Amino acid sequence: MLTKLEELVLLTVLRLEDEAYGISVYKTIQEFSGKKLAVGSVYFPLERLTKKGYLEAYKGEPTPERGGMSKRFYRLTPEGKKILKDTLKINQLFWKGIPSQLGIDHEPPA
Amino acid sequence: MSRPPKTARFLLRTFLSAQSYYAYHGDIEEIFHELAAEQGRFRAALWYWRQVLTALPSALKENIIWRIFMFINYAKICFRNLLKHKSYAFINITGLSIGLVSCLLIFLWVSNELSFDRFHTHKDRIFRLGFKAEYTDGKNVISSGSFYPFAPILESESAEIETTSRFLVESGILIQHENKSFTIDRIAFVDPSFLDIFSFPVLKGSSQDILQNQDSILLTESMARKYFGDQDPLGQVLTVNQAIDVKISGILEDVPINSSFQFDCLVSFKFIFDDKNIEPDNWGINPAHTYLLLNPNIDKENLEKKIITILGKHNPLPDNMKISALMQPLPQMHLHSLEGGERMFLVVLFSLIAFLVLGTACFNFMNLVTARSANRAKEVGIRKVIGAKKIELIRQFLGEAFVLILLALIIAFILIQFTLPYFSQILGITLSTQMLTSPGFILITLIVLITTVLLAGSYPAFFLSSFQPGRIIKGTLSKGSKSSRLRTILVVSQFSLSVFLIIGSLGIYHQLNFIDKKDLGYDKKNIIFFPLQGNLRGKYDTLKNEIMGKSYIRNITRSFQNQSQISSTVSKLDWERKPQEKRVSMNFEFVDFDYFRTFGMEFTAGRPFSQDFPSDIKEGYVVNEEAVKLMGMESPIGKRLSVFGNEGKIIGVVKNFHFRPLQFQIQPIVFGMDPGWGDIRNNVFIKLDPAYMKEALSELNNFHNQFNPDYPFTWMLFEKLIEENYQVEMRMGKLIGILTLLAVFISGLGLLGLSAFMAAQKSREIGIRKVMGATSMVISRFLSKDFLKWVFLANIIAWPAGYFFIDLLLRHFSYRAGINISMFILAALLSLTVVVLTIGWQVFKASRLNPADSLRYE
Repeated sequence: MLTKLEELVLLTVLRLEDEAYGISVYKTIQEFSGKKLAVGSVYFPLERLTKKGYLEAYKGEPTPERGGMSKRFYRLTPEGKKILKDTLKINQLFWKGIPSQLGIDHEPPA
Repeated sequence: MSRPPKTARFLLRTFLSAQSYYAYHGDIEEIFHELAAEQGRFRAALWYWRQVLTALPSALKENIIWRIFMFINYAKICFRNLLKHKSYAFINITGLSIGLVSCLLIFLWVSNELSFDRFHTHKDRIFRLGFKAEYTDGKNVISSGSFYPFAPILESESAEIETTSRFLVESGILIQHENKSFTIDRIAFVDPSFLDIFSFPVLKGSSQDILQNQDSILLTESMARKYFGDQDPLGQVLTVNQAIDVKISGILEDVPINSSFQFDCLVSFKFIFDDKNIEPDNWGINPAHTYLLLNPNIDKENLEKKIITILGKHNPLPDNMKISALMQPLPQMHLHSLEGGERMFLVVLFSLIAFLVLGTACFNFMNLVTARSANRAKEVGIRKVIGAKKIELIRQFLGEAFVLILLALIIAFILIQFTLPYFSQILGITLSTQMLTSPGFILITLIVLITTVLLAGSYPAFFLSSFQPGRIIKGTLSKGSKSSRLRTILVVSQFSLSVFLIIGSLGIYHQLNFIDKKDLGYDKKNIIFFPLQGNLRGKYDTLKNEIMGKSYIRNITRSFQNQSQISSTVSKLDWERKPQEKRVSMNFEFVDFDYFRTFGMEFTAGRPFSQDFPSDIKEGYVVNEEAVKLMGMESPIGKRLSVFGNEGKIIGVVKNFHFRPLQFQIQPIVFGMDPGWGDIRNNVFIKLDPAYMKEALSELNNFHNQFNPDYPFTWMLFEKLIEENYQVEMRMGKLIGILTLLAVFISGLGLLGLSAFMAAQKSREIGIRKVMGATSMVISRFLSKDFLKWVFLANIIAWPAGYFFIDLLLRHFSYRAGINISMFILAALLSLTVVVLTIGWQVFKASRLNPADSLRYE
């Protein structure tokens, strides 16, 4: 099972399409959640997910702003997409009937 | 575009250098730029620093902890290996320590040689003035001495020169204080500005005008302590040569051993003329050195030309002789002697040999490690499978080499403590153990250590770390065969070096033996030599009359110079029908009656100086055959000859004999009796009856003490005096001999290890051969074949090199022993003997092996 952060990271990478690398992922999560995150906090999930085979990394072009180093981009592997689907199912299962108890009218999408 | 703080960036890259972190370096830098654009560089830098600093602790922890774990493991494996293979460890450590001892001792000496005369503050502006005279007959004479009167003239006439000082050392001068008397070995005559030019610190007394007065003397600290103890020496009065009183006006620090000037006391140069009846304005003789302190930024070549102009003004030179000034910088003086010294050559030669001896030990290390690589192959395989990278394995094996070499270095330092005095004695200088802890020498030691580690350790490290784990574990790796060609090369080069050095040593010993046996044209045996000093000066005739009747005295004579080292030359020469334009120079010597008889020299024409012809004293000249040739005379006897302007006649022609060491050709020489400027013949030579040597010496001693109670009777065998001319060669011979022994020993050690290894490796093969019926003889031949082939090859390589080596070592000798084929054969036999002795035991053991033992497990 994915941790919450891993789940958010996978979703963000999917959302960012060709622009998913450390900083963009970090910024998007920060923006969406409205919480301040440490820069380093996204790297461990990113690497862990790559190791587990849900993400794959590829190299971009080096740029001067990066001190001549290339970006490490990520994209989802088929396994990654599958685990997201599974997670969605589990989430829906767990959320069933909960919103009304919380006083929310309709169910959230995920 | 602004850059992140350098230090932080460096830290980040160093400690988070693992591959997986790499992309983040770029990310973090990108954010930095963004921040810098929004909030300014300072805040961005702060942020960057915070990122780095918060990341560091965990990164460091990971880095260091794992390094410690690995280090512990490496160390454990390393020591286990040393203990498990004690004999190999012993061979390696012994070889390496011996190599390091010779290398470090030689480098200690070299660093001392290179530091000569560099402690003077004005060293860059100090020059020694020498001259080169080119004669029209093609002869060149280079002299580092200058004429007595020249220094003061130069100082007053050349604006480029700040000041000058002459320097001349005399030995064995009598000093008296109250009722004590002693002789000072090295009394230096210098001009007042000597201490302005050179930085010899004055401990007591004012350094100003200290040498101005003719009646002042400066002692070195140890000299003062020797004669005055704790008493204050300043102001004490000393009597020099029983004639002149001088006051001690200062105490100098002892002269360091890396100084070309060695003296026990300093006195004014003016002093010299009272004692040695040499006129101050004499331009003919130049035994003193002249040193110049130049003003800053003076062009040396222009000044050299100017000096010759000034010289010509005061001392008109012959037209057909070209003289040029040679100003030699002070720091070069020691290693590059103008007269063609050996020192720089020796420094380079011995550094090279020492390095090669160390190289021999390194080769042993490489050989033994690679030969036994099969033992480590499994370890390498497992480490690689677990995930060790090649660079980590290289580091591990280099580390092991480092540990071994460090052990050897520690042993070497202990050995150096014991061998240093002996080494100093060979070199004839005093190297102290304090020099071992000087920063310069520690640096040299570190460089030697690192070089040795890299030289010995890098090939084995690369070799071992490049094993492929698959092949090792499958067992398809052939044991050490890959490195066997390299091993052959290494062993052959070790033995080539040994043979090369053996040939060199034999060459030198052959030459020294030749020198000893060579017919010099006179009889050097049973002659003693002593200088006329103190009361004896000017009383030679009394001495002669007193002892001439004694039965043990065969002959007695005296001369101006040491008979085996006559170097003074005269160019003020004239003779009957001398072509006007012919300008020549000859060596000259002033002697007394019986000179030629004492040394047993033969005459080809005429007669030696004789008491029967009183006119000989003023007008008689004896020349050698070379001189006759030079003057082109058919029948020289009775011909007119004028030397230093003293008219006379040739009364005899002496057969050519070696009046200089064998490095030099026999030159023309003229002998006279009276130089015309006082009696300078102060060296006495007495030929004794060999049967009564002891009695003769004790009687001479009594006689001397009676006559000259204040001076010790310092006599010397003339043969010893001749030997001293070859000190450099004798020292060189001894040192090369020792280094040769060490090189042979180290390569023998390596061979021992290698043969043991090969015998062990081939034990099964031997077993099978024996089972098939091979005799011990066949097995021995089979085992020693390779080694013998290597020795043969080494000899072939080393012979031509050895030939040139001898040629190089003896290049200064005009008279050589020649290079003999027997030396090469002897070298070959010696190397063969060493091989047979070292591998013999292994071969014997292996050939006697019981096949059942080695094949039991098949």
